[in-house]
Amino acid sequence: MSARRGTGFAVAVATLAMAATVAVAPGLFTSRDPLHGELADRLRPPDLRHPFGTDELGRDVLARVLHGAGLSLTAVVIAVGTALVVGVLVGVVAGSGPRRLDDVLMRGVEVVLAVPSLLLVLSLVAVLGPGTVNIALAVGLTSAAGFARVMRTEAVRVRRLDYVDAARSSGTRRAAVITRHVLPNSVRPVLALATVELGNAVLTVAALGYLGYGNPPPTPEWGSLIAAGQDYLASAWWLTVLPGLAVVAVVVAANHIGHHLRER
Amino acid sequence: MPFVGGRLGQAAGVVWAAYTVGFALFHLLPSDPVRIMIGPETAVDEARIEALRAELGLDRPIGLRYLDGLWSALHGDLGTSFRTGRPVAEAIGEALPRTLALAGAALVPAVVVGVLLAWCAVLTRSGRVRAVLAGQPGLALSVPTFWLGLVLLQLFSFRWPLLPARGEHGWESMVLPAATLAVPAGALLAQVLLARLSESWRDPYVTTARAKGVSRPLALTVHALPNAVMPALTVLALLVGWLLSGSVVVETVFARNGIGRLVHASVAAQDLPMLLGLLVVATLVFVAVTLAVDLLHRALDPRAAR
Repeated sequence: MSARRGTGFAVAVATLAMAATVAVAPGLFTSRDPLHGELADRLRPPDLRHPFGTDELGRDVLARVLHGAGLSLTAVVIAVGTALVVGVLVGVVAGSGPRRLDDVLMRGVEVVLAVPSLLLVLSLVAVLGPGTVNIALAVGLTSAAGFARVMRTEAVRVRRLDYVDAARSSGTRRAAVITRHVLPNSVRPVLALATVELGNAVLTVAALGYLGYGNPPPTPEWGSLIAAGQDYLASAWWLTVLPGLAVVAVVVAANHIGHHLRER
Repeated sequence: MPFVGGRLGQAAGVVWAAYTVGFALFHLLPSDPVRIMIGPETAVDEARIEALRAELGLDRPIGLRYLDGLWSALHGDLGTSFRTGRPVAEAIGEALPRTLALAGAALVPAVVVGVLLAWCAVLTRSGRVRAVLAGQPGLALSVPTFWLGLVLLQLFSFRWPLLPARGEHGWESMVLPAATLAVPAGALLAQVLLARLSESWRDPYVTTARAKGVSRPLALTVHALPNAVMPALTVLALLVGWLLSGSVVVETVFARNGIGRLVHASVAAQDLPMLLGLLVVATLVFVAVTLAVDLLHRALDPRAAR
């Protein structure tokens, strides 16, 4: 059992590493142009030359997916990064600051968690305007609430530990207590949440791209790539089905790692 | 009864807070509603903009506008849509039943499949079967909902023309969107129920029942399941939020009218009053379900009252 989980974990890590490599250097994996195609080759089903087929302009779909990884995963990293920074900051302040501030911050967090999250994300997109970076910020700000809650719980838990008491009574400044004791001790649950959030962010960013709030065409981004294919559902299944598999692979890998981190 | 009153007050507090967060978001950020209404490209002289501003009451202090809006919202008036000029409450009132019908149609198969999956996974003696079953919810939750909808559409409307592709024509057009929504909902439920069921399966009363000769399926259904259902009920509120969120993409994929479609159109047009109304109504639905589940929990399990 544990051996199999080990392999699964390794595959998941390898998948994410692969996705990151593709995002940074898509040219290593395909020599085809994601933006220009041969019109003579339009709407070709998958074959050896075009493993994911070609779209209505004769562009190689695999090349578009690989080149789209950059924008999609950058958005995801911005989203999770924003959530992490804002959430941890709010959580630490709430968990180690004065009681009244804690109450106010955590009430705010509860409200954010009570509003259906996609609606909140879309409201933020409406205010910030469309664009892939704005989508990412909206997703990050909305999911910061979850991080704040976990971080606060950890901060309160760690604060009660004996050695933190010892550190404080021996005159360590509050900021030093936080950076040296509270943060290192809360890394694991926060990291577990971050990997799960990574999967969620991939899904939400793709959904918003599909709805058309991402960067305008011809930038290939996974969500808008799938949306562009939906006009050809009847004749060219590969335009929607195959790019979606890239999204599924990344999310499954992220969730698997998150699950693993939480189990330990 | 003081409990019910307290929870009602809390619920009202959350809805009020959602209104406040939405209002702050839409008014404090540097997006000018009048500019949004007339469109960024249209050339209009300043006097006309000022007149529009006065007409909409936007020239008054923000605090007054907030209190006014809140007071009207309490009376069921959520303002007027920038996009259509119709009252927000009317548009939402029209869209909500359609989405609730869709969510209801999705909830039934989700509960059936979710419970069945958890039940089978606990019952089986084969570790491999259990691992496969237990892995399904995680996989289902990793699939983008809009993509799942498109794949189902491709298979069941285009490859095998069994069901209508898009629009609303009777129950047949409800099948695919409901199935699309049901997959993540059922997965979420199965995940929680599986954890609870495996826990209560190891409880002493199950061992006692088994020792008295009760069969495994019967012990699981009659003894373990009722004790696992209660905690799993709490996930129902989460599920409703999930279904509301999911309706945005599902209604777009299948070209159905409803709350999700309204959200999509309002975001694209930066229809802030409509979005604020939608935010408040969605929170209201979520809070109402949470409250109902809480009360049900207390009625069925007195220990929860403590």
